[in-house]
Amino acid sequence: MTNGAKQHMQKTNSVIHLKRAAYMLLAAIFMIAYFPTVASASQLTSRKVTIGSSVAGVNTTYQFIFTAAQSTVIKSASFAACTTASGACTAVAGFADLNTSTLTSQPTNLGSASGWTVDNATVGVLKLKNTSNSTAPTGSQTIGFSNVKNPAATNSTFFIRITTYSDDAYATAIDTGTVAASTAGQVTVTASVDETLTFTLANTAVDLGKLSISSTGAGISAMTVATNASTGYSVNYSGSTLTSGMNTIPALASPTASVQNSKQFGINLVSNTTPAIGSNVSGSGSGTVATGYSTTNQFKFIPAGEVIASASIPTNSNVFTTSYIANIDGSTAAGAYSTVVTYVATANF
Amino acid sequence: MKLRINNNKSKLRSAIYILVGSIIGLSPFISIPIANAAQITGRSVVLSTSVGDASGVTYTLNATALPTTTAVKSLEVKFCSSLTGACASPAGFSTTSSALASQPTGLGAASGWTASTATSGSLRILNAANSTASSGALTVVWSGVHNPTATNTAFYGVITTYSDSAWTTAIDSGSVALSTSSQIQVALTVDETLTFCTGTSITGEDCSTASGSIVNLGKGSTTATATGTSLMAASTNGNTGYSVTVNGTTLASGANTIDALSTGGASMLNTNQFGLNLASANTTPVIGSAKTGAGTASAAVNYGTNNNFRFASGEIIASAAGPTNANKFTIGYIANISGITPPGSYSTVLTYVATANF
Repeated sequence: MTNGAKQHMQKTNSVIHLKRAAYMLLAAIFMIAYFPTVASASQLTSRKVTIGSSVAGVNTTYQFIFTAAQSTVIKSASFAACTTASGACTAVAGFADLNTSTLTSQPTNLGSASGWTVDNATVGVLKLKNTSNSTAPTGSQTIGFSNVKNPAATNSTFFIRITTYSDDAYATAIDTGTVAASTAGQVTVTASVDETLTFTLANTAVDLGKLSISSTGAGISAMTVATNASTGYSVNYSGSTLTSGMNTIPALASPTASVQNSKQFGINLVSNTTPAIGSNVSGSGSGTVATGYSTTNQFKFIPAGEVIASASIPTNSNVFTTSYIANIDGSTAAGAYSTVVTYVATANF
Repeated sequence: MKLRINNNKSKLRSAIYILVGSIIGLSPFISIPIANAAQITGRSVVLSTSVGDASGVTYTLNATALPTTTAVKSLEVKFCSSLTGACASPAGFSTTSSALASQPTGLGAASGWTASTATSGSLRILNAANSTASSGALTVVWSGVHNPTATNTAFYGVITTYSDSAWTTAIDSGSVALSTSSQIQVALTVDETLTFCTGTSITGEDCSTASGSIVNLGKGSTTATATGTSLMAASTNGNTGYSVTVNGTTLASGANTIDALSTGGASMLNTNQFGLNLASANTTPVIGSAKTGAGTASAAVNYGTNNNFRFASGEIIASAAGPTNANKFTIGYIANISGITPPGSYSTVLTYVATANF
């Protein structure tokens, strides 16, 4: 072999060695560039998602809380809903399919306190980013999304894979973590409340005794009233005045005091002293005595009838005491006087 | 000159013949020591781990009682890559850090045995003072042995007992085969889970059977409490468990509402009340059931007391502090009305939200 040939061979070998070294260098560079993004992704800890409503298909809030494992500055984060927690992600039917989510507020402890914007570019994935963020995450991070559409299926578990990135293109992962959530059926609780009217009369006969010109015949009856009607109730009475055959004791057409030795028949619903008869309304209800029947010692009776008590709203029970008085004069014909008074309660639903 | 060369050749041939003849003649005598070394039976060497290149491995030699009852003063297990040809120590195998884990049995004296690590490829012990004949099952345990480097590779041990303490005069012998092996790494991924469902019917705690969503409390009355129940089941492997909140409004009919027991209380007739609890044994009224399932979840304090009902939207009604199997809770609802409760069809839609904490 000539010297020239030897030199040529040595030169060729040098080139081959140089190429090999270059290939090794390139391979090393690729490996270094590749592994930080994959191998260093750590687990987000203390992570959870709280959804505002578990009702399938509704728009609600999603609040994510987690703790970043690394202090690398985060420029974007994604929250992908998948049917499984690991492996290839199959999108959850219905989740964020309209992708109209918004940030409930600026994230907490994710880095910069402002500048984060929602990214709705990907259906089924909640995203946010902050290109200019240069602050490392601290403590526990909180990120809230609003107007996120829930998965379509009821009582169904789904998984949200959380990833933080060091770039704003969702490319270079920092930390990852998965949380599980579930839709649930709603429970409708129903109850019905029927219309009520409680109206009872405690007495069916009231004996005013034997009348004289020097004393007032008096007696009482009681009635209890309650209703859940929205505008309450009214109690009406009607009946003729005291009658004995063709003879009558005139009714007091307007509120009048009891006067002995005069012909009078009247009623009221309060406590009286002249004569001492009756009681004021009692009970927890809101019923009241009608004007004309609510003044102490003033009595009235309209045979055609009118309202003597009422309530304007639903009311619990009240007990009304009706006081009856009768006076006669010396010309009042002897006889057994009586009347039938009818009370009617009307609830206004 | 040529004659001298032939003579030399002849001498050489003669020498070869003599040598061959001598070897043949001596062969019976050469085999005498080997033939006398009886076979050790029931022999084995047990490794605490067969992982290639593992260190700190325990080697236990077991055998039935030695066939020859001569007093043993030394013992050797020599490790080779092959039982044929010259013994080559398996690559990586080392006994330099080995030690006797305990005094051997079946070798005569119960004490006085020491290990010798002078020969890296062999496990050796000796007891120059031993004068007791061997008897009983043999057990020698060495610790601190370094396994051969290669995995899934056989190697061999040649066991020899000696009547002297220099591993020279063999008594009994036997061979064993051993092997390193690779470890099997069994991997399993357990994903995060949260299983949660609500309904009016759930078989066991199986959420796939959940059905129903209407709880009809019936007709309100001032003299009887309206009641009803729904169910929910939940489980998670979240490391700090889960919590379930109830969300919604009280019973309403248009603008009319039945007051929620927002701070809790007993059921009282003739009072506007709506509440719920997850208690196991309400008596006033009789409603609800104990939770079922193997899980560790429990009702929240405010919702777990018998005869105390409550409803405040957003409150936690049940939770588990750690990973839990499924529990099924019965939610008991009560409603009372007063005399003035407006008539109507009252209803509310309650949403239960489960949050798992991983």
